[in-house]
Amino acid sequence: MSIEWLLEPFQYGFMIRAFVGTSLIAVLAAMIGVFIVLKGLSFIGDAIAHISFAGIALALLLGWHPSLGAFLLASGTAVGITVLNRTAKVRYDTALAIVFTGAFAAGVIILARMPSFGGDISALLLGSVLGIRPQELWLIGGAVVMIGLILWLAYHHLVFAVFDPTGAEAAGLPVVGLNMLLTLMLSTAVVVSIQSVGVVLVMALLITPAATAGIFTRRLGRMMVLAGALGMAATWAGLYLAYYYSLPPGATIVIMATIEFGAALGIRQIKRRLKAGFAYGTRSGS
Amino acid sequence: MNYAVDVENLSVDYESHLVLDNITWRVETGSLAAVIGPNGGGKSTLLKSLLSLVPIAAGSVRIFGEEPKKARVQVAYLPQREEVDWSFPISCLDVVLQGRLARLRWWQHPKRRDRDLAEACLQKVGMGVYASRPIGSLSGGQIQRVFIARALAQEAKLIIMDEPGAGLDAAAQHQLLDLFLELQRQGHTIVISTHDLNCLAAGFDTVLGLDRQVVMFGAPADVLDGKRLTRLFAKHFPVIGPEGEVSIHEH
Repeated sequence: MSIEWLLEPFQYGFMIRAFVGTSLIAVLAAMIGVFIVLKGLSFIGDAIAHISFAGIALALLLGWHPSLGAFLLASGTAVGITVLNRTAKVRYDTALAIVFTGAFAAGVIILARMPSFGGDISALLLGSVLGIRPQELWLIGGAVVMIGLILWLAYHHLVFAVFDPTGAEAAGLPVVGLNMLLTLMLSTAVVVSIQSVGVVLVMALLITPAATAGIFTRRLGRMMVLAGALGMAATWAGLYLAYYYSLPPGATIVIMATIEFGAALGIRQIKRRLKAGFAYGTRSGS
Repeated sequence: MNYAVDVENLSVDYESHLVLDNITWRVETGSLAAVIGPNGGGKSTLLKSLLSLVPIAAGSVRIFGEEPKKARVQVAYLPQREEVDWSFPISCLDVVLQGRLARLRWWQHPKRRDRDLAEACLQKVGMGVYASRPIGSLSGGQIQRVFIARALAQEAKLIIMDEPGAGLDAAAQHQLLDLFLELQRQGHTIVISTHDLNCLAAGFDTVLGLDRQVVMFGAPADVLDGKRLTRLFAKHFPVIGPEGEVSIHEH
Protein backbone atom coordinates (compact mmCIF):
# COMPACT_ATOMS: atom_id res chain seq x y z
CA MET A 1 0.00 0.00 0.00
CA SER A 2 1.80 3.10 -1.22
CA ILE A 3 1.32 6.74 -0.32
CA GLU A 4 -0.08 7.29 -3.82
CA TRP A 5 -2.66 4.58 -3.18
CA LEU A 6 -3.71 6.34 0.02
CA LEU A 7 -3.72 9.83 -1.48
CA GLU A 8 -5.34 9.10 -4.81
CA PRO A 9 -8.97 9.46 -3.64
CA PHE A 10 -8.21 12.93 -2.28
CA GLN A 11 -7.80 14.47 -5.71
CA TYR A 12 -11.60 14.49 -5.94
CA GLY A 13 -13.62 17.06 -3.99
CA PHE A 14 -16.46 14.61 -3.45
CA MET A 15 -14.06 12.06 -1.88
CA ILE A 16 -12.61 14.71 0.46
CA ARG A 17 -16.13 15.67 1.52
CA ALA A 18 -16.99 11.98 1.98
CA PHE A 19 -13.95 11.43 4.24
CA VAL A 20 -14.56 14.59 6.29
CA GLY A 21 -18.31 14.05 6.52
CA THR A 22 -18.21 10.41 7.55
CA SER A 23 -15.38 11.05 10.03
CA LEU A 24 -17.51 13.72 11.71
CA ILE A 25 -20.43 11.30 11.72
CA ALA A 26 -18.23 8.63 13.34
CA VAL A 27 -17.46 11.09 16.17
CA LEU A 28 -21.14 11.98 16.54
CA ALA A 29 -22.16 8.31 16.48
CA ALA A 30 -19.61 7.43 19.16
CA MET A 31 -20.82 10.14 21.55
CA ILE A 32 -24.48 9.21 21.30
CA GLY A 33 -24.07 5.51 20.44
CA VAL A 34 -22.61 4.65 23.84
CA PHE A 35 -25.76 5.94 25.54
CA ILE A 36 -27.99 4.11 23.03
CA VAL A 37 -26.22 0.81 23.73
CA LEU A 38 -26.26 1.28 27.51
CA LYS A 39 -29.88 2.37 27.69
CA GLY A 40 -31.08 -0.17 25.10
CA LEU A 41 -32.49 2.46 22.75
CA SER A 42 -31.62 0.68 19.48
CA PHE A 43 -35.22 -0.09 18.66
CA ILE A 44 -36.30 3.51 19.23
CA GLY A 45 -33.38 4.70 17.09
CA ASP A 46 -34.49 2.44 14.26
CA ALA A 47 -38.05 3.74 14.55
CA ILE A 48 -36.77 7.32 14.42
CA ALA A 49 -34.72 6.50 11.30
CA HIS A 50 -37.75 5.07 9.47
CA ILE A 51 -39.95 7.98 10.48
CA SER A 52 -37.24 10.39 9.28
CA PHE A 53 -37.62 8.85 5.85
CA ALA A 54 -41.29 9.89 5.82
CA GLY A 55 -40.11 13.33 6.95
CA ILE A 56 -37.69 13.56 4.01
CA ALA A 57 -40.46 12.56 1.58
CA LEU A 58 -42.83 15.12 3.09
CA ALA A 59 -40.18 17.86 2.96
CA LEU A 60 -39.51 17.15 -0.71
CA LEU A 61 -43.25 17.27 -1.41
CA LEU A 62 -43.52 20.65 0.32
CA GLY A 63 -40.31 21.99 -1.22
CA TRP A 64 -38.38 22.17 2.08
CA HIS A 65 -34.85 21.03 2.82
CA PRO A 66 -35.03 17.23 3.36
CA SER A 67 -33.11 17.37 6.66
CA LEU A 68 -35.62 19.86 8.07
CA GLY A 69 -38.54 17.53 7.40
CA ALA A 70 -36.60 14.56 8.76
CA PHE A 71 -35.60 16.47 11.89
CA LEU A 72 -39.14 17.74 12.59
CA LEU A 73 -40.77 14.31 12.32
CA ALA A 74 -37.88 12.58 14.13
CA SER A 75 -37.85 14.99 17.07
CA GLY A 76 -41.65 14.88 17.23
CA THR A 77 -41.40 11.10 17.49
CA ALA A 78 -38.66 11.33 20.11
CA VAL A 79 -40.75 13.63 22.32
CA GLY A 80 -43.86 11.50 21.73
CA ILE A 81 -42.06 8.30 22.73
CA THR A 82 -40.68 9.83 25.93
CA VAL A 83 -44.08 11.18 26.97
CA LEU A 84 -45.89 7.94 26.05
CA ASN A 85 -43.36 5.86 27.94
CA ARG A 86 -43.84 8.10 30.97
CA THR A 87 -47.60 8.47 31.10
CA ALA A 88 -49.01 5.28 29.61
CA LYS A 89 -46.49 2.90 31.23
CA VAL A 90 -47.51 0.31 28.68
CA ARG A 91 -45.51 -1.77 26.27
CA TYR A 92 -45.37 0.61 23.38
CA ASP A 93 -43.03 -1.32 21.06
CA THR A 94 -45.88 -2.83 19.06
CA ALA A 95 -47.61 0.53 18.65
CA LEU A 96 -44.29 2.12 17.70
CA ALA A 97 -43.53 -0.62 15.14
CA ILE A 98 -46.94 -0.10 13.51
CA VAL A 99 -46.45 3.67 13.38
CA PHE A 100 -42.90 3.62 12.01
CA THR A 101 -43.46 0.99 9.34
CA GLY A 102 -46.66 2.82 8.33
CA ALA A 103 -44.81 6.13 8.11
CA PHE A 104 -42.05 4.47 6.10
CA ALA A 105 -44.56 3.01 3.63
CA ALA A 106 -46.22 6.43 3.30
CA GLY A 107 -42.79 7.91 2.52
CA VAL A 108 -42.18 5.36 -0.23
CA ILE A 109 -45.58 6.11 -1.81
CA ILE A 110 -45.10 9.89 -1.62
CA LEU A 111 -41.71 9.67 -3.33
CA ALA A 112 -42.89 7.19 -5.97
CA ARG A 113 -45.86 9.38 -6.92
CA MET A 114 -43.86 12.62 -6.97
CA PRO A 115 -43.00 13.53 -10.56
CA SER A 116 -40.43 16.15 -9.51
CA PHE A 117 -38.42 13.73 -7.36
CA GLY A 118 -35.17 13.55 -9.31
CA GLY A 119 -33.17 11.26 -7.06
CA ASP A 120 -33.78 7.59 -6.53
CA ILE A 121 -35.22 6.10 -3.38
CA SER A 122 -32.27 3.77 -2.93
CA ALA A 123 -29.98 6.77 -2.31
CA LEU A 124 -32.15 7.65 0.70
CA LEU A 125 -32.41 4.05 1.86
CA LEU A 126 -28.75 3.15 1.48
CA GLY A 127 -27.11 6.57 1.68
CA SER A 128 -25.10 8.71 -0.71
CA VAL A 129 -21.76 9.37 0.91
CA LEU A 130 -20.24 10.56 -2.35
CA GLY A 131 -23.03 13.10 -2.76
CA ILE A 132 -22.31 15.02 0.46
CA ARG A 133 -22.40 18.74 -0.38
CA PRO A 134 -20.34 21.46 1.35
CA GLN A 135 -23.36 22.92 3.18
CA GLU A 136 -24.16 19.45 4.52
CA LEU A 137 -20.68 19.29 6.03
CA TRP A 138 -21.56 22.43 7.99
CA LEU A 139 -24.79 20.77 9.14
CA ILE A 140 -22.91 17.65 10.33
CA GLY A 141 -20.19 19.77 11.96
CA GLY A 142 -22.81 21.88 13.71
CA ALA A 143 -24.50 18.74 15.06
CA VAL A 144 -21.16 17.42 16.37
CA VAL A 145 -20.43 20.70 18.19
CA MET A 146 -23.97 21.04 19.59
CA ILE A 147 -24.30 17.45 20.81
CA GLY A 148 -20.73 17.48 22.13
CA LEU A 149 -21.49 20.61 24.14
CA ILE A 150 -24.77 19.29 25.56
CA LEU A 151 -23.18 15.94 26.45
CA TRP A 152 -20.26 17.70 28.12
CA LEU A 153 -22.62 19.83 30.18
CA ALA A 154 -25.18 17.18 31.15
CA TYR A 155 -22.76 14.21 31.24
CA HIS A 156 -22.93 13.32 34.94
CA HIS A 157 -26.68 13.82 35.24
CA LEU A 158 -27.34 11.81 32.06
CA VAL A 159 -25.19 8.94 33.32
CA PHE A 160 -27.07 8.91 36.67
CA ALA A 161 -30.45 8.94 34.89
CA VAL A 162 -29.43 6.08 32.57
CA PHE A 163 -27.70 3.99 35.24
CA ASP A 164 -30.31 4.28 38.01
CA PRO A 165 -33.45 6.13 36.80
CA THR A 166 -35.45 5.59 40.00
CA GLY A 167 -32.61 6.66 42.28
CA ALA A 168 -31.97 9.70 40.09
CA GLU A 169 -35.62 10.73 40.13
CA ALA A 170 -35.82 10.19 43.88
CA ALA A 171 -32.82 12.51 44.28
CA GLY A 172 -34.75 15.16 42.38
CA LEU A 173 -32.99 14.97 39.01
CA PRO A 174 -35.15 15.96 36.01
CA VAL A 175 -35.15 12.40 34.65
CA VAL A 176 -37.96 12.94 32.12
CA GLY A 177 -36.23 16.02 30.74
CA LEU A 178 -32.90 14.20 30.57
CA ASN A 179 -34.49 11.26 28.72
CA MET A 180 -36.07 13.68 26.29
CA LEU A 181 -32.72 15.39 25.78
CA LEU A 182 -31.17 11.99 25.05
CA THR A 183 -33.83 10.98 22.50
CA LEU A 184 -33.62 14.42 20.85
CA MET A 185 -29.85 14.05 20.51
CA LEU A 186 -30.44 10.55 19.16
CA SER A 187 -32.84 11.83 16.51
CA THR A 188 -30.41 14.59 15.54
CA ALA A 189 -27.62 12.03 15.16
CA VAL A 190 -29.90 9.76 13.11
CA VAL A 191 -31.06 12.53 10.76
CA VAL A 192 -27.50 13.74 10.21
CA SER A 193 -26.10 10.23 9.65
CA ILE A 194 -28.82 9.17 7.19
CA GLN A 195 -26.94 11.24 4.60
CA SER A 196 -23.98 8.91 4.71
CA VAL A 197 -25.40 5.41 5.16
CA GLY A 198 -29.12 5.80 4.60
CA VAL A 199 -32.21 4.93 6.60
CA VAL A 200 -31.69 1.18 6.69
CA LEU A 201 -28.09 1.11 7.90
CA VAL A 202 -27.94 4.20 10.09
CA MET A 203 -28.42 2.33 13.36
CA ALA A 204 -25.47 0.05 12.55
CA LEU A 205 -23.23 3.10 12.40
CA LEU A 206 -24.58 4.36 15.73
CA ILE A 207 -24.57 1.08 17.63
CA THR A 208 -21.86 -1.22 16.27
CA PRO A 209 -18.72 0.81 17.16
CA ALA A 210 -20.13 1.54 20.65
CA ALA A 211 -20.94 -2.13 21.22
CA THR A 212 -17.49 -3.15 19.97
CA ALA A 213 -15.87 -0.65 22.36
CA GLY A 214 -17.97 -2.10 25.17
CA ILE A 215 -16.25 -5.47 24.66
CA PHE A 216 -12.85 -3.96 25.47
CA THR A 217 -13.53 -1.47 28.25
CA ARG A 218 -15.74 -1.05 31.29
CA ARG A 219 -15.20 2.71 31.51
CA LEU A 220 -17.67 5.07 29.95
CA GLY A 221 -15.17 7.74 28.87
CA ARG A 222 -12.81 5.23 27.30
CA MET A 223 -15.76 3.48 25.66
CA MET A 224 -16.69 6.73 23.92
CA VAL A 225 -13.14 7.45 22.72
CA LEU A 226 -12.66 3.86 21.53
CA ALA A 227 -16.04 3.86 19.75
CA GLY A 228 -14.98 7.04 17.95
CA ALA A 229 -11.67 5.48 16.87
CA LEU A 230 -13.36 2.25 15.73
CA GLY A 231 -16.05 4.15 13.86
CA MET A 232 -13.41 6.31 12.17
CA ALA A 233 -11.35 3.23 11.18
CA ALA A 234 -14.43 1.49 9.73
CA THR A 235 -15.34 4.66 7.84
CA TRP A 236 -11.90 5.12 6.28
CA ALA A 237 -11.43 1.44 5.45
CA GLY A 238 -14.93 1.37 3.95
CA LEU A 239 -14.33 4.45 1.81
CA TYR A 240 -10.98 3.17 0.44
CA LEU A 241 -12.49 -0.21 -0.41
CA ALA A 242 -15.51 1.44 -2.01
CA TYR A 243 -13.23 3.72 -4.05
CA TYR A 244 -10.89 1.02 -5.36
CA TYR A 245 -13.38 -1.81 -5.81
CA SER A 246 -16.48 0.22 -6.83
CA LEU A 247 -18.51 -0.97 -3.84
CA PRO A 248 -21.50 0.92 -2.40
CA PRO A 249 -19.73 3.10 0.24
CA GLY A 250 -22.47 3.21 2.92
CA ALA A 251 -22.85 -0.56 3.00
CA THR A 252 -19.06 -1.09 2.89
CA ILE A 253 -18.59 1.18 5.93
CA VAL A 254 -21.24 -0.77 7.85
CA ILE A 255 -19.61 -4.10 6.86
CA MET A 256 -16.25 -2.83 8.14
CA ALA A 257 -17.85 -1.91 11.49
CA THR A 258 -19.48 -5.35 11.63
CA ILE A 259 -16.11 -7.04 10.93
CA GLU A 260 -14.56 -5.01 13.75
CA PHE A 261 -17.27 -6.28 16.08
CA GLY A 262 -16.73 -9.90 15.00
CA ALA A 263 -12.98 -9.54 15.41
CA ALA A 264 -13.45 -8.03 18.89
CA LEU A 265 -15.58 -11.00 19.93
CA GLY A 266 -12.90 -13.34 18.57
CA ILE A 267 -10.10 -11.54 20.42
CA ARG A 268 -12.05 -11.70 23.68
CA GLN A 269 -12.63 -15.42 23.17
CA ILE A 270 -8.92 -16.06 22.51
CA LYS A 271 -7.95 -14.00 25.57
CA ARG A 272 -10.28 -16.08 27.73
CA ARG A 273 -8.90 -19.33 26.33
CA LEU A 274 -5.33 -18.17 26.95
CA LYS A 275 -6.20 -17.15 30.51
CA ALA A 276 -7.91 -20.48 31.20
CA GLY A 277 -5.02 -22.37 29.59
CA PHE A 278 -2.50 -20.44 31.63
CA ALA A 279 -4.36 -21.09 34.88
CA TYR A 280 -4.58 -24.79 33.99
CA GLY A 281 -0.89 -24.89 33.11
CA THR A 282 0.25 -23.40 36.41
CA ARG A 283 -2.01 -25.72 38.35
CA SER A 284 -0.73 -28.86 36.62
CA GLY A 285 2.86 -27.65 36.92
CA SER A 286 2.73 -27.16 40.68
CA MET B 1 -43.12 14.11 68.13
CA ASN B 2 -40.77 14.66 65.22
CA TYR B 3 -41.50 12.34 62.30
CA ALA B 4 -39.24 11.62 59.33
CA VAL B 5 -42.13 9.84 57.64
CA ASP B 6 -45.77 10.64 58.30
CA VAL B 7 -48.26 8.72 56.15
CA GLU B 8 -51.96 9.29 56.74
CA ASN B 9 -54.85 7.33 55.22
CA LEU B 10 -52.77 6.69 52.12
CA SER B 11 -54.35 4.83 49.20
CA VAL B 12 -52.63 4.10 45.88
CA ASP B 13 -54.16 2.42 42.84
CA TYR B 14 -52.44 0.86 39.91
CA GLU B 15 -54.60 0.34 36.81
CA SER B 16 -57.82 0.67 38.87
CA HIS B 17 -56.55 -1.94 41.32
CA LEU B 18 -56.05 -0.86 44.94
CA VAL B 19 -52.41 -1.58 45.85
CA LEU B 20 -52.35 0.32 49.13
CA ASP B 21 -55.55 0.74 51.14
CA ASN B 22 -55.83 3.40 53.82
CA ILE B 23 -52.31 3.19 55.25
CA THR B 24 -51.41 5.23 58.31
CA TRP B 25 -47.79 4.88 59.40
CA ARG B 26 -45.23 7.03 61.15
CA VAL B 27 -41.47 6.74 61.42
CA GLU B 28 -39.75 8.76 64.13
CA THR B 29 -36.73 10.78 63.10
CA GLY B 30 -33.55 8.87 63.88
CA SER B 31 -35.18 5.44 64.03
CA LEU B 32 -34.81 2.25 61.96
CA ALA B 33 -38.10 1.16 60.36
CA ALA B 34 -38.67 -2.08 58.46
CA VAL B 35 -41.59 -2.96 56.18
CA ILE B 36 -42.38 -6.66 55.79
CA GLY B 37 -45.11 -8.55 53.98
CA PRO B 38 -45.84 -10.95 51.13
CA ASN B 39 -44.80 -10.25 47.54
CA GLY B 40 -47.34 -7.99 45.88
CA GLY B 41 -48.37 -6.68 49.30
CA GLY B 42 -47.34 -3.14 48.36
CA LYS B 43 -43.94 -2.78 50.06
CA SER B 44 -42.19 -1.23 47.07
CA THR B 45 -45.18 0.96 46.27
CA LEU B 46 -45.24 2.32 49.82
CA LEU B 47 -41.53 3.17 49.64
CA LYS B 48 -41.97 4.82 46.25
CA SER B 49 -44.90 6.87 47.53
CA LEU B 50 -42.51 8.37 50.10
CA LEU B 51 -40.48 9.68 47.16
CA SER B 52 -43.53 10.79 45.22
CA LEU B 53 -42.64 8.33 42.45
CA VAL B 54 -46.18 6.90 42.32
CA PRO B 55 -49.43 8.91 42.10
CA ILE B 56 -51.45 8.99 45.32
CA ALA B 57 -55.20 8.25 45.10
CA ALA B 58 -56.10 9.47 48.60
CA GLY B 59 -54.47 10.50 51.85
CA SER B 60 -51.18 12.29 52.44
CA VAL B 61 -47.45 11.71 52.75
CA ARG B 62 -45.15 14.06 54.67
CA ILE B 63 -41.38 13.77 54.84
CA PHE B 64 -39.85 15.81 57.68
CA GLY B 65 -43.18 17.68 57.68
CA GLU B 66 -42.89 18.64 54.00
CA GLU B 67 -44.31 17.53 50.66
CA PRO B 68 -42.18 14.57 49.40
CA LYS B 69 -41.11 16.51 46.30
CA LYS B 70 -39.79 19.40 48.40
CA ALA B 71 -37.92 17.06 50.73
CA ARG B 72 -36.12 15.17 47.95
CA VAL B 73 -32.63 16.44 48.59
CA GLN B 74 -32.87 15.12 52.17
CA VAL B 75 -33.98 11.68 51.01
CA ALA B 76 -31.89 9.02 49.27
CA TYR B 77 -33.38 5.96 47.59
CA LEU B 78 -31.50 2.74 46.96
CA PRO B 79 -33.16 0.68 44.25
CA GLN B 80 -33.85 -3.04 44.26
CA ARG B 81 -31.03 -5.02 42.73
CA GLU B 82 -32.92 -5.92 39.56
CA GLU B 83 -33.75 -2.27 38.84
CA VAL B 84 -30.12 -1.51 38.01
CA ASP B 85 -27.98 -2.75 35.11
CA TRP B 86 -24.87 -4.08 36.86
CA SER B 87 -22.86 -4.37 33.67
CA PHE B 88 -22.99 -0.58 33.37
CA PRO B 89 -19.44 0.75 32.94
CA ILE B 90 -19.13 2.91 36.04
CA SER B 91 -16.68 2.95 38.96
CA CYS B 92 -17.66 2.87 42.64
CA LEU B 93 -16.41 6.41 43.17
CA ASP B 94 -18.53 7.67 40.27
CA VAL B 95 -21.61 5.99 41.76
CA VAL B 96 -20.95 7.72 45.09
CA LEU B 97 -20.34 11.02 43.30
CA GLN B 98 -23.90 10.76 41.92
CA GLY B 99 -25.06 11.61 45.42
CA ARG B 100 -23.68 15.13 44.92
CA LEU B 101 -25.74 15.65 41.75
CA ALA B 102 -28.92 16.05 43.83
CA ARG B 103 -27.47 19.43 44.84
CA LEU B 104 -26.34 20.50 41.37
CA ARG B 105 -28.26 21.66 38.27
CA TRP B 106 -28.10 19.44 35.19
CA TRP B 107 -25.40 21.53 33.53
CA GLN B 108 -23.18 21.78 36.64
CA HIS B 109 -20.25 19.44 37.21
CA PRO B 110 -19.09 18.02 40.56
CA LYS B 111 -16.09 19.96 41.91
CA ARG B 112 -12.91 18.87 43.67
CA ARG B 113 -14.57 19.11 47.10
CA ASP B 114 -17.50 16.96 45.90
CA ARG B 115 -14.97 14.33 44.86
CA ASP B 116 -13.18 14.56 48.23
CA LEU B 117 -16.50 14.18 50.04
CA ALA B 118 -17.44 11.17 47.89
CA GLU B 119 -14.08 9.55 48.70
CA ALA B 120 -14.61 10.20 52.41
CA CYS B 121 -18.08 8.62 52.25
CA LEU B 122 -16.66 5.56 50.52
CA GLN B 123 -14.06 5.31 53.33
CA LYS B 124 -16.83 5.62 55.92
CA VAL B 125 -18.58 2.48 54.70
CA GLY B 126 -15.27 0.61 54.48
CA MET B 127 -15.08 0.61 50.68
CA GLY B 128 -12.29 3.15 50.17
CA VAL B 129 -9.94 0.71 48.44
CA TYR B 130 -12.60 -0.14 45.84
CA ALA B 131 -12.97 3.45 44.55
CA SER B 132 -11.79 2.76 41.02
CA ARG B 133 -13.33 -0.73 40.68
CA PRO B 134 -16.31 -1.17 38.32
CA ILE B 135 -19.54 -1.52 40.30
CA GLY B 136 -20.37 -4.80 38.54
CA SER B 137 -17.27 -6.52 39.95
CA LEU B 138 -18.43 -6.25 43.58
CA SER B 139 -20.44 -8.64 45.76
CA GLY B 140 -24.03 -7.90 46.80
CA GLY B 141 -23.02 -6.66 50.24
CA GLN B 142 -20.30 -4.42 48.83
CA ILE B 143 -22.72 -2.91 46.31
CA GLN B 144 -25.12 -2.05 49.15
CA ARG B 145 -22.27 -0.27 50.94
CA VAL B 146 -21.38 1.75 47.85
CA PHE B 147 -25.01 2.83 47.46
CA ILE B 148 -25.18 3.75 51.13
CA ALA B 149 -22.03 5.85 50.56
CA ARG B 150 -23.93 7.57 47.73
CA ALA B 151 -26.75 8.40 50.16
CA LEU B 152 -24.16 9.80 52.61
CA ALA B 153 -22.59 11.89 49.84
CA GLN B 154 -26.02 13.33 49.16
CA GLU B 155 -26.10 14.31 52.86
CA ALA B 156 -29.51 12.65 53.01
CA LYS B 157 -31.12 12.45 56.45
CA LEU B 158 -33.60 9.76 55.43
CA ILE B 159 -32.32 6.69 53.58
CA ILE B 160 -34.91 4.44 51.92
CA MET B 161 -33.88 0.98 50.69
CA ASP B 162 -35.92 -1.57 48.79
CA GLU B 163 -34.85 -5.09 49.82
CA PRO B 164 -31.25 -4.28 50.82
CA GLY B 165 -30.88 -7.77 52.29
CA ALA B 166 -31.87 -9.63 49.11
CA GLY B 167 -29.18 -12.00 47.91
CA LEU B 168 -26.93 -11.44 50.95
CA ASP B 169 -25.68 -14.29 53.11
CA ALA B 170 -26.18 -14.21 56.88
CA ALA B 171 -22.76 -12.67 57.59
CA ALA B 172 -23.29 -9.88 55.03
CA GLN B 173 -26.75 -9.17 56.47
CA HIS B 174 -25.34 -8.79 59.97
CA GLN B 175 -22.63 -6.46 58.68
CA LEU B 176 -25.33 -4.43 56.96
CA LEU B 177 -27.33 -4.20 60.18
CA ASP B 178 -24.19 -3.01 62.02
CA LEU B 179 -23.77 -0.30 59.40
CA PHE B 180 -27.43 0.74 59.84
CA LEU B 181 -26.94 1.00 63.61
CA GLU B 182 -23.81 3.11 63.05
CA LEU B 183 -25.74 5.42 60.68
CA GLN B 184 -28.53 5.67 63.25
CA ARG B 185 -26.01 6.84 65.87
CA GLN B 186 -25.00 9.56 63.42
CA GLY B 187 -28.62 10.74 63.28
CA HIS B 188 -29.90 9.10 60.09
CA THR B 189 -33.38 7.66 59.72
CA ILE B 190 -33.50 4.41 57.76
CA VAL B 191 -36.53 2.80 56.14
CA ILE B 192 -36.21 -0.57 54.42
CA SER B 193 -38.42 -3.27 52.99
CA THR B 194 -37.22 -6.78 53.69
CA HIS B 195 -37.98 -10.47 53.58
CA ASP B 196 -35.42 -11.17 56.25
CA LEU B 197 -37.23 -11.40 59.57
CA ASN B 198 -34.39 -12.61 61.82
CA CYS B 199 -31.54 -10.25 61.27
CA LEU B 200 -32.72 -7.05 59.65
CA ALA B 201 -36.33 -6.77 60.81
CA ALA B 202 -35.51 -8.08 64.29
CA GLY B 203 -32.75 -5.50 64.72
CA PHE B 204 -34.92 -2.52 63.76
CA ASP B 205 -36.91 -0.21 66.04
CA THR B 206 -40.28 -0.74 64.37
CA VAL B 207 -41.76 -3.26 61.95
CA LEU B 208 -44.73 -2.59 59.69
CA GLY B 209 -46.53 -5.70 58.38
CA LEU B 210 -48.12 -4.79 55.06
CA ASP B 211 -50.50 -6.72 52.83
CA ARG B 212 -52.31 -3.98 50.94
CA GLN B 213 -53.47 -2.82 54.37
CA VAL B 214 -51.59 -2.42 57.64
CA VAL B 215 -51.74 -5.88 59.19
CA MET B 216 -49.56 -5.03 62.17
CA PHE B 217 -47.20 -2.40 63.48
CA GLY B 218 -44.92 -2.18 66.49
CA ALA B 219 -41.57 -3.16 67.98
CA PRO B 220 -40.19 -6.40 66.49
CA ALA B 221 -40.52 -8.24 69.80
CA ASP B 222 -44.26 -7.50 69.84
CA VAL B 223 -44.93 -8.05 66.16
CA LEU B 224 -42.81 -10.99 65.05
CA ASP B 225 -44.77 -13.85 66.57
CA GLY B 226 -46.13 -16.91 64.81
CA LYS B 227 -49.84 -16.09 64.94
CA ARG B 228 -49.44 -12.57 63.57
CA LEU B 229 -46.99 -13.67 60.89
CA THR B 230 -49.41 -16.39 59.76
CA ARG B 231 -52.03 -13.71 59.29
CA LEU B 232 -49.65 -11.48 57.36
CA PHE B 233 -48.27 -14.20 55.11
CA ALA B 234 -51.65 -15.83 54.53
CA LYS B 235 -50.52 -17.89 51.57
CA HIS B 236 -47.17 -18.70 53.15
CA PHE B 237 -46.45 -20.10 56.56
CA PRO B 238 -43.78 -18.99 58.97
CA VAL B 239 -41.69 -21.59 60.77
CA ILE B 240 -40.25 -20.72 64.17
CA GLY B 241 -36.91 -22.42 64.77
CA PRO B 242 -35.46 -23.71 68.07
CA GLU B 243 -33.78 -20.39 68.85
CA GLY B 244 -36.80 -18.33 67.95
CA GLU B 245 -35.65 -17.55 64.40
CA VAL B 246 -38.42 -17.19 61.86
CA SER B 247 -38.47 -18.22 58.23
CA ILE B 248 -41.21 -18.02 55.62
CA HIS B 249 -42.16 -21.02 53.51
CA GLU B 250 -44.58 -21.20 50.61
CA HIS B 251 -47.41 -23.71 50.68
